[in-house]
Amino acid sequence: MSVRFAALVKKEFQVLIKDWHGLVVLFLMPAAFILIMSMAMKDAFGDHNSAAIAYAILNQSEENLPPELLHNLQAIPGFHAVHLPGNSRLNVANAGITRGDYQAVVVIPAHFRQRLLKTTKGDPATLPTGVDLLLAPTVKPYIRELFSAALRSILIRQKIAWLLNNNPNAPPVVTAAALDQFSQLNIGTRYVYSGDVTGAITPNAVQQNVPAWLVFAMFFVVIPLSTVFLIERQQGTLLRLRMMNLNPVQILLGKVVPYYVVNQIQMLAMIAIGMAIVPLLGGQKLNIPHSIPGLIIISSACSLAAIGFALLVATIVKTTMQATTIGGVVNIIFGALGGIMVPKFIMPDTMQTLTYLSPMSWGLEGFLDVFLRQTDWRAVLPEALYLSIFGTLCLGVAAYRFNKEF
Amino acid sequence: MYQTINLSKEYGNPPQTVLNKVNLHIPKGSLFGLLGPNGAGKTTLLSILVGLTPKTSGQVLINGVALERCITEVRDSTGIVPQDLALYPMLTAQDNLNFFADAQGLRGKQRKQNMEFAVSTTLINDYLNQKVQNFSGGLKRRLNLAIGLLNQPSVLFLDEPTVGIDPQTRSFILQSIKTLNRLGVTVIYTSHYMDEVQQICDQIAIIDRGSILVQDEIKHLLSHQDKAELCIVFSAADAERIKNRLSARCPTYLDDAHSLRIQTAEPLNILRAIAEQLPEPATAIARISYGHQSLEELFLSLTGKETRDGDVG
Repeated sequence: MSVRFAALVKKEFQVLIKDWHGLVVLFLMPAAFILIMSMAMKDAFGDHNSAAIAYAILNQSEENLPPELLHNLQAIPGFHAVHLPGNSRLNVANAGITRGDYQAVVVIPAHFRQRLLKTTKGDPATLPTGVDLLLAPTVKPYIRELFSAALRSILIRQKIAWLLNNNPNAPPVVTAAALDQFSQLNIGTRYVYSGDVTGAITPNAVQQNVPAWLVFAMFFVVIPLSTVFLIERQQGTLLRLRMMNLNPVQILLGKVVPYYVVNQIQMLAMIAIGMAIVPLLGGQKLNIPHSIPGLIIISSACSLAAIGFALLVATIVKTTMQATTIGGVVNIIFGALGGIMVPKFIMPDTMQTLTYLSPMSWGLEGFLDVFLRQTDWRAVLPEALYLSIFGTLCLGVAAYRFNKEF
Repeated sequence: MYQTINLSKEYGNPPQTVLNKVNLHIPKGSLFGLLGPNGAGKTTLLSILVGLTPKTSGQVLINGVALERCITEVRDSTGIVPQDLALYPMLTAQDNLNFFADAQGLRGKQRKQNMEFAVSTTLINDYLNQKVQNFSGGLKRRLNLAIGLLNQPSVLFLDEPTVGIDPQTRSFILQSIKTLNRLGVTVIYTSHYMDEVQQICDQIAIIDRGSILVQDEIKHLLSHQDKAELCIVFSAADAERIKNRLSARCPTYLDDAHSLRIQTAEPLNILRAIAEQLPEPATAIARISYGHQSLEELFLSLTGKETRDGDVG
């Protein structure tokens, strides 16, 4: 190796070691990701019984369920059964879904045995539902199908057992027609919105993805905002503005307003993409939220948090490179921690609690309220409050630092 | 017009003195050069004079009134052209001018007049609709100056306005500054280019390590030196030997092994004395010059030749 080549290699190492934000990107970000994502997806890839996707069983049947059926229903592999008090009613079960205590409720209806044993030679879809399955709108379709398949298998097993036991002395004669009848079973699947059961709107991929990536995009105003702010600071533009008798609060507010507008345009653009472009590409169409006031409240609060955070970064860092690196990395970590990349409900309990450290988590929950759960504006107030407090605190610290420097 | 009395500034903990009892007088209508090596305290002094940095002690008087009592009026009537290009490169020149005019609260007829004055003084009319990021260095400097003129200031602070531009643009900017001064604008000018300062300023102050070393009209400073200097460059390293012979007779300074500066009113007598010390005078002397110091020589003799890049202020 020539001396000149060695010098080039040595120089590159020296530059790299001195560039601490480059090292953050190279080492700290992937380390943080491995930790967060591994913890978040621990249960999804584990083979133990602490699966994070929780469901409850609500028995409205007059008779006691056979112990074997009950056991099988409570031990669906990959899912976690939550106990409901024996005298629970449907509204209690729905409220649990709305609160996020569990994502599904298996409702065993009245006249369960008769409904399950009923068969037809016509269209099986005309049969009454054997059980009802209530789902949170956040449940992805593939998880719904997995759960339904497991449930179907358990119920068919019970149906066969009851059919055979109707005449215990007769030897079982299983014909093709009988097999068809055995496998006839309907599961009535519906989604729970704001505590009310409705089948009107089926949550789809675009309905679930728009809120997540909208929140993520809104927080990325940190890059342009902090970059321009630093250029102004470094090149003497802020000095000029001071000479023009502008005060620091005016200058900061002059940045909040346009980026608020940018955030709202982002929201409208994402909705437009979900409604118009995704269907053109063969995807499902985004449904407009019922509560426009709720949408305005949560998007305004989310914007305040995003802009406050961006201004805080802008007043802390010294170079544009630091601004883009720190702003970008913190945002990605906020996203991973806040359930943007991995749905919160498949995280273990501890991780679900930790998601509240990320303001993106509050923003996401708020947008899910209006887009998926179809709640009214009151439901987003807690998330909007948290985001507003976070944004105001960030703005306060940024204003203090800027005023001191100004 | 601008007067400082025992003006001091300290930074940090433990306190580091950046300005030490500075007494300065900048007359109204002057073209005043403020000179000093890197870290001498120029930027801090300018920053205090426009009210951007608080002083630690002393006074700043504007037309006899304490700066604190008239800060808003002072800023309204002051233009500032920072060394850095305080512009928005992604916007056009016109957008930049519009923004800074609006930020100063200029409206209506006055806005239009001031804008025309700034544009015509800096001759940027033909480039108003182009993005600043596509401008040459010289054009950016002219726009930087134009923005400083938007409020038609009575006092203009210029911090090294000719850094990194070609001789033509430099000459144009210097002429513009002189024209502004003739129109009654008081100009306070900092630069490391001594020839520029000597060319355009009528008064200067030299500051170093937080103190004013000298302040006067340039013509007085350069002509009132006690004696002119005889500068000799030897072909061989004879300078120290000759210095030892002459130092009892007149002030003699060794620049390096080949160069001497001798303060004298009798250059011919000194040259004869030197020739006697040299075996072959015709070839031993490479160059001879005689006269008063230039501003650069005066500056270096007052502030020394060591570099100052490690200093702050």
